Amino acid sequence: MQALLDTALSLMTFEALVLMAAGCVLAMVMGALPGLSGTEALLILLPFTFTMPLEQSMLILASAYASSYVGGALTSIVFGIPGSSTNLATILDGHPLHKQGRTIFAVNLAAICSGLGALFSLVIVVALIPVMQPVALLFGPAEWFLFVIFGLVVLAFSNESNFLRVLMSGALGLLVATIGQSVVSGTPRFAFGITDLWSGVPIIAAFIGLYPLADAIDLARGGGAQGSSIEADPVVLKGLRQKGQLADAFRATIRHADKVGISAFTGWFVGVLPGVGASLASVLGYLVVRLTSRNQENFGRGDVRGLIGSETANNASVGGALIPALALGIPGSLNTAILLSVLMINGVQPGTNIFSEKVEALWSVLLGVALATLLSCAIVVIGGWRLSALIAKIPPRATAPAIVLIGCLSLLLARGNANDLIIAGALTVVGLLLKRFGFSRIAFVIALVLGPIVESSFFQAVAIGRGSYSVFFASPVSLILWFLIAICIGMHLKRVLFGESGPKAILAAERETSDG
Amino acid sequence: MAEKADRTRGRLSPLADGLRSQGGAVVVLLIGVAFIAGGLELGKLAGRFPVMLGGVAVALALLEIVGGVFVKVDDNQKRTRAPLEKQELKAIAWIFLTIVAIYIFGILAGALVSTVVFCRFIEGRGILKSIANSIANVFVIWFAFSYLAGFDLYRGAIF
Repeated sequence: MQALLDTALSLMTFEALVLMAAGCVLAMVMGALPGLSGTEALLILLPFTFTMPLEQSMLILASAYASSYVGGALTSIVFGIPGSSTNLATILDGHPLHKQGRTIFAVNLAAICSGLGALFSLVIVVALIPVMQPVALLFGPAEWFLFVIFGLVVLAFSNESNFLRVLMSGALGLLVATIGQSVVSGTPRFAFGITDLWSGVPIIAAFIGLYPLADAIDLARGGGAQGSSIEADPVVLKGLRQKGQLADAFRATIRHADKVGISAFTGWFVGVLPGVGASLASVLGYLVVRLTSRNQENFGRGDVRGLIGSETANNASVGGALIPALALGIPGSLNTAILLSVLMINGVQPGTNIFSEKVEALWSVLLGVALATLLSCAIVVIGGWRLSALIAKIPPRATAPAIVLIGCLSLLLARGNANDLIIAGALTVVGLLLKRFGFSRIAFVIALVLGPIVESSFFQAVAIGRGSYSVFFASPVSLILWFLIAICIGMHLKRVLFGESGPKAILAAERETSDG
Repeated sequence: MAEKADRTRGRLSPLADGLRSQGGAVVVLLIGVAFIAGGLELGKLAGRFPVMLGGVAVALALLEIVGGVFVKVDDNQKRTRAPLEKQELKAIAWIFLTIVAIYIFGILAGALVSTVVFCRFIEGRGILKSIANSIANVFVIWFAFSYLAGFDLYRGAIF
């Protein structure tokens, strides 16, 4: 508690608040622009954090992390285009509400639910802190190794059509992570005499090459502005002048408090699963709310409950993703992978270290997420649809040079080594090929980040077992993890053999029905 | 004869289609084999993990290849593997030009070159507008990162 108060006081400076606001606004804009997401915002902010104290770095990055999902809801509601994949399900009922002239109501409802979802998940994280450290202690090298494998299997399972390709992506990431000096013997491996690779593939170069540079190609070949005048529709125009919509949004939230709770819990739980992320949380939140509702005929036609389901869950996944990240050092999403990298660069080891010696960093992340969520929701409530109309006027293609240049700048500022540009270029090719052949970049990145620790855990476990691999089956935690892995593989086989549809396929069918 | 050829082609087409659709898995297979070969030369400690992972990659790739032969290639996969469009090729070339320009000339000069090329050849603007845009871009980068944030911007391999 004392650490929390000390951290809160140290963050209540004008400079810290400005940084947090900058992170919020940038991430909301990035989240609102189709083709971009909070990841780009984090990477843009990254170089600014190198000269900051750790607590401020985590504050600004956590702010950006939390705010991007809120921004994405705006374009989903107003234009029917997802700002990012985390707001896909928001279109189903958010956009019809806009068409019915209830734009401000929908935008405010999305903001309120986003805030409640994030705060709900953070309360659970804080409540679980006393048990996270003992749980972290249950995870020895063998359990940790298996948990990473479990994470990759869950990630593969959540990707319905490309289960094997996601696993292959994870295997490739782990293979690329072996480039450089062996963590066990120190022998250089697969570096081909390139000294810049002796310490392994730089993680920042991997992030920049695989994501912003690879995605900039889609942006660069994209079309012009997608923001046509939203005031052309008389129904929408009349609705924009209607007063009392904010109060209506609050009343709707209270009336459907049970749906808010169900969706928040679903989102938090999905966020805990390693590598799965907010996009699936949003889809599942929508589906769970729908399945537990009576009178489902209005879903997909502007049902308030549908909007509640998607927007509460995606923000609730933020707190959930922080649990495996902070307790075990396993990123629950790409954004938490970036947060973890910054922590590790600053000498903070997730797990027992962050709960004992570096607890200020922990509170900075949690406070950053909480405050940023409240701030971004307030911005949306005050700015409303006007904000999305403004953002939508920015042609996505015009952002491509900025993204590429700032990405390269981040890279150069990270290590001051120009050869990282070449490595990032090579990884851009890898990112393009992964996208083109239906492989998973997120699995590749997570495996790459965790690779060295996975290998050292493997060898430590084998050493503990005195050379026997039975150590991976020795503890109850290991057996539980094997059981969960088997369930995921079994459910996938059932899906393949009996042709059942997963959540995203159901959602795609819903969209076809509501469009038709 | 022609009928037989048609029937044979009909039976082989799904097989050929299936094999073609597994190009990615074939690449993974080759990468796995390469890491196994490299790992075996490294010795017991340093090489064990790459050999193990290489084996996993090969096994997964074989499963994908064998499975893919018998599964119809869906439209999404066909669209993803369609030949690259001209605009896409231009965008790829521009990204690599940017990286090379920054590496050789530094961040500011590289940004100048990159933005001119982007505005002129990808957005199709006139040369004067492209130059004006790139100067504005470079000024923003210098102002935000060098003047305000105080970073020492990379000056390029030749300076």
